[in-house]
Amino acid sequence: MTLRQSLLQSIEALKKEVANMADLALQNLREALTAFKNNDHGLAQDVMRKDDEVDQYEEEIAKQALKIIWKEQPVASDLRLVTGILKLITDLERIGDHATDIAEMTLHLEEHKIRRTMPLTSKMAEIVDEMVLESIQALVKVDDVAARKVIDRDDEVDDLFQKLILKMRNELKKENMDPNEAIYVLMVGKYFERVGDHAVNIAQWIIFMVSGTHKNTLLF
Amino acid sequence: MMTIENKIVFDIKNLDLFYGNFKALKSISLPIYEKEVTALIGPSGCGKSTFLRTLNRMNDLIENCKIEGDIEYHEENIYKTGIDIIGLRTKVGMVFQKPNPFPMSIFDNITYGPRCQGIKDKAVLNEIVRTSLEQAALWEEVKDRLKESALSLSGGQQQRLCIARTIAMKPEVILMDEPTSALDPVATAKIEDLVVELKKNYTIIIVTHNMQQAARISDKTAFFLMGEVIEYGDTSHIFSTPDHKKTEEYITGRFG
Repeated sequence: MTLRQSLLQSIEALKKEVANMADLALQNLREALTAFKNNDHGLAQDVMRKDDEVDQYEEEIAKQALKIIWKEQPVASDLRLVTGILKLITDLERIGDHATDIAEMTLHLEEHKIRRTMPLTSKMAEIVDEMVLESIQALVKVDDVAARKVIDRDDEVDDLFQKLILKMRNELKKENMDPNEAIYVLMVGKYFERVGDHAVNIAQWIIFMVSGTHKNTLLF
Repeated sequence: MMTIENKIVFDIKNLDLFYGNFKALKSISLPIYEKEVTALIGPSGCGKSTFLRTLNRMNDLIENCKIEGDIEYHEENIYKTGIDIIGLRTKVGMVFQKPNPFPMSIFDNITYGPRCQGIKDKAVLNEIVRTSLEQAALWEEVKDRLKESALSLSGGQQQRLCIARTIAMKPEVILMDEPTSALDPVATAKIEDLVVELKKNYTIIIVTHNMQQAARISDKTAFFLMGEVIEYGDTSHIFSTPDHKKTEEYITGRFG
């Protein structure tokens, strides 16, 4: 017989809320990229508005997690899950912030000037999108094997960002590009690189949820 | 996982216990470390109290109880013939679930054991009463009413008196069988604080149904299930990352 129904139900509800928050953060990130690619100022402003919802999710989830801790006093896997969620919502919130940052860059760019640099940024964005999505899927299943795969992909993103820096430098040397534009493109690249890092952080908390170990340190 | 710092007081090896044909304990092997609190947890009927009572041979009082395997107390098998059982129970005291003070004064409750051992000197007995009650964190509450009946004390005070009565015999080990299950939260907290304080001088083995209590006060935890020890290790490990699925399921309330 399963005991402690209220604990199990609270934990399921918490996981659902985190999945909803993650969905929203990822959706904002995708829309931010679309806005940037298409120079769509309206969409960029929508993304910036929706960031408040991501922030509200963070607060609500933190409240729910703390309530489970004081009310249910979870131990073992339940404790690891709840505390892991408390930590990783900060990364989800930061992903939301970077979506806003990317949207904001759109507002600084003039139309038609960004197309030649998009292949690298698009590739970065594609990988980062997959990393975030896979980290969320790993979270829902509390799957440390999937989480490790997310971590492994981060090098690809870092390499692409280095390539983007080189490309921008060459373009600027050849005076093929407006320096303002180069700065914004680089910043967008940097934001995607940071989002990749946050996906890695989320994956590391998922590994903690399974093993109690965070970045190879046993936390108990 | 286990950190080993202190020396071993009890070393239990392949212990089987039968009540008639019923095997209540199955191949229990575990060491108990000096000046640590070891918590025994598990669902009702899992054998934890039975195991506790083997450590000072309280099961001898139960008919048809048969024991196989070894329980070594300081490397001496306590079930070998010729062992001094009274001496063993002096060294390995016990506190029960329900406070059971004798129907006599607080003072006489404490001095009952020492008197049985032949101590008659009033000054020595006074000193035993004072130090035992101080160690049991009861002295300040009862120092002016030592001649009053122990039954006039509250439940929590009675339980601390029982601990003081155990301490008066100068034991090395204190066995506690759900010592707070009949107490309110405040009295429970006092006993828990006391247990943590007592481990500076004593080795304590406690049976508890309160998972948080085990987590709060014990250094080692043994999880019993159907007469077996499923997992034994550092309490921090058992309550954070237990190795066994059954332990996990029990402490998280998936079954009980």
